[in-house]
Amino acid sequence: MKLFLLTILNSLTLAGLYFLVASGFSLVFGLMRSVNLAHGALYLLGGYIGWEVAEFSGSWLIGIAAGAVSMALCGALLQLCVFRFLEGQELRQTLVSIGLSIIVADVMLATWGGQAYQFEVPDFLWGSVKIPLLGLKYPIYRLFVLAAAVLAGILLWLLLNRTRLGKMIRAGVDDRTMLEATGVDIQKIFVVVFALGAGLAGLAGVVGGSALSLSPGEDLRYLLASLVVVIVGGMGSIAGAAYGALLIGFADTFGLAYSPTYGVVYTFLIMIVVLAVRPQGLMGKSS
Amino acid sequence: MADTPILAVEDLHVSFGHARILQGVNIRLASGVLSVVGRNGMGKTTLCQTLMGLVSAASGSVRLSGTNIMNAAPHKIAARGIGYVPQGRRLWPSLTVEDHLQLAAGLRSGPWTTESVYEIFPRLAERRNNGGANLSGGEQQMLAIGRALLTQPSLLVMDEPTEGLAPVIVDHVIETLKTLVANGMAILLIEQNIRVACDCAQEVAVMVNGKIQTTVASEKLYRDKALQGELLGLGSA
Repeated sequence: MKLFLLTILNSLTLAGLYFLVASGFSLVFGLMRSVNLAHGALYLLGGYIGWEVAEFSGSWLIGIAAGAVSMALCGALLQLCVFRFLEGQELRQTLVSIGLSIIVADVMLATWGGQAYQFEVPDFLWGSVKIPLLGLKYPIYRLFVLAAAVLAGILLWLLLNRTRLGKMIRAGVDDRTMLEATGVDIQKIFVVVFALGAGLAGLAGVVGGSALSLSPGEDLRYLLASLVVVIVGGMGSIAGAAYGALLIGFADTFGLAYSPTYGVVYTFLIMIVVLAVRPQGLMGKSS
Repeated sequence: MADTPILAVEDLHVSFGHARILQGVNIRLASGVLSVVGRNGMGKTTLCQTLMGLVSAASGSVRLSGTNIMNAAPHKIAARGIGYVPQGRRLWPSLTVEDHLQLAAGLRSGPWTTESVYEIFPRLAERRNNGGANLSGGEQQMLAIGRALLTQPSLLVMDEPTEGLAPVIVDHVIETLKTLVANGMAILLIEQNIRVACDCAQEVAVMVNGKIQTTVASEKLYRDKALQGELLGLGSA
């Protein structure tokens, strides 16, 4: 019973982390139709930069901000200098972003080496807390990850549903040609959305690097997780990213806890079933 | 200059790969309405999209009140004063009626406001919190027109606005267009429906194989079934 409850909590917190990474990926895909396969590299690079800044400044919170802001700038630059010129050429976007992610991964390996980095989280997030009704202890930090993901989800929802920019983004996801023809400079919206998606990846890099650790290979792990989450949840839908993250988080964690040998299989089984039954994803719109 | 037409298209050529869709289109619209009719596949929608900057032209010129806007970015063309009502309405399904209008209204200031759009289309006011996808065909068309008006255009480019609408709604759309024109709006009206095309405009341009083959007085075209058959391939029915 205790293992079961702990596994549920672990699933939720992993889902939170997946949501942070995948929501940005999904947003960029939904609006721009470009699959940014460098998203995992943005996650890991954000984590490393956050780690450096946190070490230098002695503040983990500044580290988080640095991870998010630096990757948001990177994202804006990527859109302005690279993806803007590849509009509508999906294959080239895919190849260029794979190339970028390989280059960035090697540069990161050269700069930060092969060892794992661990953040020092602030004292108030350290240690564990007894959860009243369940009667078990659980790390405070993992609860923080869950809370951060929920908060990010709420903020994204507010941005998309309550602001003018959000309406433009949703209109662009529906039919971006008509958004342009109505007089919106879509390139500006693209830069903002790319920066937002990349910023979320950078933020997740620090948050995730503190929950687990930063090491080479994490970029691909999170890229793969994001891909599976948005394929399951539906490309371009934030709610879909949340459902997808929950499903994959639970499949991953329960798989590892109860049948470690086949743990990885469940994730892809879910993906195959979704692709077979509902190819546009749980919340995706059929085109 | 007083005689500068609101829209002047000269020798416009557009190709998709090897397919030449527009092969030297010439249009002159001084004011009021010019209808463009033609069979499917003659290039009418491509003409609209090229005017809007959504499709790039190989050569020619498109002048809006004297300024060449050919191949400008769509949002700049919209800002210069062309409102686009596309074929199939193309609303944004995840936005409500109110969202559609507010989004368009916030881009440029001018005579049109969301309230004035609700005045000419009271049905939209009743449905302001409905999603764009939950409207009837007629309501969708009203919303598409309202959205275009809120970009404060001097010229509306309308691509088959009565397609798929019930006859009574078609009459309502015609009335609306006439009111807009009476208030100084210029309209380039692409239509399959000869009755609508002739009712709204004095002149009707007939598009055949990517060219304006001829421009005829609407009364003449409306009465002369033989001419309709010859130009448009319409049966006597």
